[in-house]
Amino acid sequence: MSDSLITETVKDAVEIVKDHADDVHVHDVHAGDDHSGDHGGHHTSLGLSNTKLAMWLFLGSECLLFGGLISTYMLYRNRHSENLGPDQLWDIPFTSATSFVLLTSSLTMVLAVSAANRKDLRNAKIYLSVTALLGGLFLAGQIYEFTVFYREGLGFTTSLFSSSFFTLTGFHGVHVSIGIIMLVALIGMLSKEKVSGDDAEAVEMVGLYWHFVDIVWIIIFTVIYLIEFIK
Amino acid sequence: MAVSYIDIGPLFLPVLLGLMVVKFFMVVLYFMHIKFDNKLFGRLFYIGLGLAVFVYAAALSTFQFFAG
Repeated sequence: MSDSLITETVKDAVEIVKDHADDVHVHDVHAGDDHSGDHGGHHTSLGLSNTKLAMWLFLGSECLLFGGLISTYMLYRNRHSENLGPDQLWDIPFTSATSFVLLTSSLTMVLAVSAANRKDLRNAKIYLSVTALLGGLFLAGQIYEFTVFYREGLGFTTSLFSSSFFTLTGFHGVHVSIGIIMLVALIGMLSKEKVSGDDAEAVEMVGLYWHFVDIVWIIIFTVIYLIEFIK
Repeated sequence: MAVSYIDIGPLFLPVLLGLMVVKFFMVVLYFMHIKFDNKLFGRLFYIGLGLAVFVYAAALSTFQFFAG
């Protein structure tokens, strides 16, 4: 990572604070102490959405978590017995199908965010439901895959390969599960009008998390599943 | 994904990794709106991503992962 990126980020942050300070000053003079932003959510002194800033920071930190898990798998991927390795276990057509389902759920999530931005909450809830359903389908595929591997003799402690594989894909599965819980909770809150702040921003935040889970799977599917077949 | 069914010899790995990177950034730039949003959001994410790539590339190097 270059120093210039950090320097530019800090410079940008300082400029945003200065701009915002000027805006607040003008606002204070003309309209009293109401500092709420135009977009409905809570805003930082940067003039940006507090929630969105926190979500991007969280996603940045998640890169380190999954980076560690993927690296550990890469180190241990050859530490298995002769008949219980990726060559004997992987079912690429099946995993490709479940991957397609997860990637499609990203598209329905985008449609949900788009509908929420248009204040079309009915369609937003429909697309959120489809996204949760596709996520559930992916999860069902992963559970089926784990069951097949276990029946063939690959347990969590069978080898270093199996431990690192189940930990990595299991952690991803937990993230998908949490995403589904967030989607279902959001649908319920939108239905009962219990969302504090902007509805569209709430949908966008869950969308960011969901897309992150999707991009992590893009890496896992390529690095863990597909690359094994070039050896 | 379809590339895994076509025999393109030594080009397989670079093509696969290239497609992975393209897909990754298509989702990040367009689905996650980094391209159109405030630059600070993108930089926070890229700092985390860059740090992860750097730290784990270094860690894998110490185990001579890239030597073979």
